[in-house]
Amino acid sequence: MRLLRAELWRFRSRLLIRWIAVGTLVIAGLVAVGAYVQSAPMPEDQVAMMRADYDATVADYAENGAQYLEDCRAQAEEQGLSDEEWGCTEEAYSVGDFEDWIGPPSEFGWDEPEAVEGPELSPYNGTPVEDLPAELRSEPLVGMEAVEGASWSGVGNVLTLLPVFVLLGLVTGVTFTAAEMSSGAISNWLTFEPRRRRVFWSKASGAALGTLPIALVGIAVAGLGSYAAYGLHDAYGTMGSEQWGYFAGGMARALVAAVVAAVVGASLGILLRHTAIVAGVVVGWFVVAEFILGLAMQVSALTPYLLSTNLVAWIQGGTNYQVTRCVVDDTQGEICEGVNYAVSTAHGGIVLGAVAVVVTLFAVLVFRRRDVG
Amino acid sequence: MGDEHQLAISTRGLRKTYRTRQGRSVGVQGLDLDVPVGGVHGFLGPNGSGKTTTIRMLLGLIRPDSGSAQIFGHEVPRDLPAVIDRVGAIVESPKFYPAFSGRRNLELLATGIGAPRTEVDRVLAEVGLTERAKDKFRGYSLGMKQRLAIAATLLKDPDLLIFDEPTNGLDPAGIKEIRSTMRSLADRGKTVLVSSHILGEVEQVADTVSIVSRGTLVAQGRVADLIGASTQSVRLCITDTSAATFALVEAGYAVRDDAGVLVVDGVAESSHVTRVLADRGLYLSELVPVRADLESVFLELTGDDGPGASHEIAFAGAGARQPGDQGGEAA
Repeated sequence: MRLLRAELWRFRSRLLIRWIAVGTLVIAGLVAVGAYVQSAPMPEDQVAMMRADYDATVADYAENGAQYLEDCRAQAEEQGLSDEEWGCTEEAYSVGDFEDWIGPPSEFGWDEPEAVEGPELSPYNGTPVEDLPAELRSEPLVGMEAVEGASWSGVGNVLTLLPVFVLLGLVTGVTFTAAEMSSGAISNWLTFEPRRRRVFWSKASGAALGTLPIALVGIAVAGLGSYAAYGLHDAYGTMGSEQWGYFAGGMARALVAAVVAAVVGASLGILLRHTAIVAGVVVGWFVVAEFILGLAMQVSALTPYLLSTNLVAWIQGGTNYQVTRCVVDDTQGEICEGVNYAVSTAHGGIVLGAVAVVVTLFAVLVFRRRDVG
Repeated sequence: MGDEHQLAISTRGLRKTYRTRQGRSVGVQGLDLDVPVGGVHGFLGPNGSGKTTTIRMLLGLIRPDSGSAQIFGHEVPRDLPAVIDRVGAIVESPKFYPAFSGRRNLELLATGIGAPRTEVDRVLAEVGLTERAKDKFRGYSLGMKQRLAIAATLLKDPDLLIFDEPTNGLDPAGIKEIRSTMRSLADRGKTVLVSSHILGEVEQVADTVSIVSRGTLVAQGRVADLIGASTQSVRLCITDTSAATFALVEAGYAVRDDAGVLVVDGVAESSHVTRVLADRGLYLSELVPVRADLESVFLELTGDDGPGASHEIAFAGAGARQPGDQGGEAA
């Protein structure tokens, strides 16, 4: 406990960590300000402009809609496709209400989705799922995408931004230990307490406990500040127990992730000894593994194990990724479909937890045996 | 303390090698070091001779490849936690958190070891840093950094203090200050191990020394005994230098002419020189023994010829200022 007390005191005293705490508050404030801007009603001149566009389109379709539809059907025939496949439907040439035209108002919560009647449809081409070959059947959507309206709600916006606080937790942990390793102050410390495991865990725990209040305040200001900002425009929307549960759950899981990230950061700082090296390794990992392999090359086998995928799944209560798969069907020839795969919250937690445990234990092992210069 | 008849530090066959681009380089090669309880013990050797490596191994900062080490009878690094409260150490340059004040650095250490905060004031006063205690460590002069490091070691009120090259970069006043600090610590019954490659400063303060070269021990014992054990030179003033030179060379001495004065090296007994000359009817007008100092002993033992046979003098002999009172004896 003495060591932990000393580490917590050192944590509080570090100027850089104070700046990170200030930065966290600033970012949280910006999230709330963004929510305020997002929830503001559309300015009247913009509404008037959109109304003029709407009226012009209604007039155009009333005059030429039938001709447009006929032209479309002709093109479909030329392509050898059905009217539906080419998108030549009555709905395509009707405008609907002005409210549909300008889109739903931005609200913090979302309405309960209406029950869908009839067969479950593939989210990508509208084919009934039961008609698809087994290989092309998507897993049910999870997370925000599973609830209509949640993705573009205020809750959805906040949860999408929460990984920033996890990153700040990581940075806090790294700077807490790496500076000590690179300055050589650790060798002085070890002449007072040579039990390296104790020293390691006091530093990792210090990073975690020190980061906890910073991340808690940051996430609370971002989340509750956004809620209040929507309220200023009377745009709470529907915030029932389900919405609150989802929102609070996401924030709580982000807080846990930020604290664990601080431990991982502290471990990486001890392991690699320089903040710049840790930054290089982390950026390198995200560029190579997460971006190039995961996004650009779409190595689908990797996707469920990418840190970014699992972090989103952990915070947002699950996430989805899509892989294009093709099969040859006896009657229809080659059929391709964007197949949805779900990554659950538990999967995200297990993968992130496993990575944290492996990095931390490896750091303990190395720190115990390494010569300290 | 129960350390009578014990050694503060003892190593046997301590060895450490480092991986380099050229293969493995030997830092310490089978070192047998004995530091008696009490007094100042100089740990001498040229740069790169393995002093810092040895100290790091004693403190558990690096792992020996083989051999064993003990501090106050405790096997280290295995039992270091049991004895660390009795050891204060400064390894190479003092390393503290640069952005924290001297006081805060000490308060952190005090919190870590459970020492009361009042101890911080006491040790700051003891090293004369009270007025600069609020300044950031990075703004301290080298001398102040050393004093802060000494203050840190005193937080534990240790029985053994290890100072690794404590006067590096200090001005003469700073060197004198460190020297008197070490002496006063030893006078209070502490054991001080000071490593250095500057022999003059150690000779003035050390009771016993160990000399290492290329990772091995070449001599250890009391300073007075080591100097005494060294072969002596004498300076002779004589009228017939040619005849005297001939007689002495014939008797097996090495003789040099230093501006009309003969310098005879390798003299065990001055009286033997006078007898050789008198037998030839040559009479001296003056004979001055040239007193060996630690530096000449050091150079003799660590010269280009490399470490010679180990030159060990038991600590039980006479001449030391106080550690001999404890009756410690080299193994």
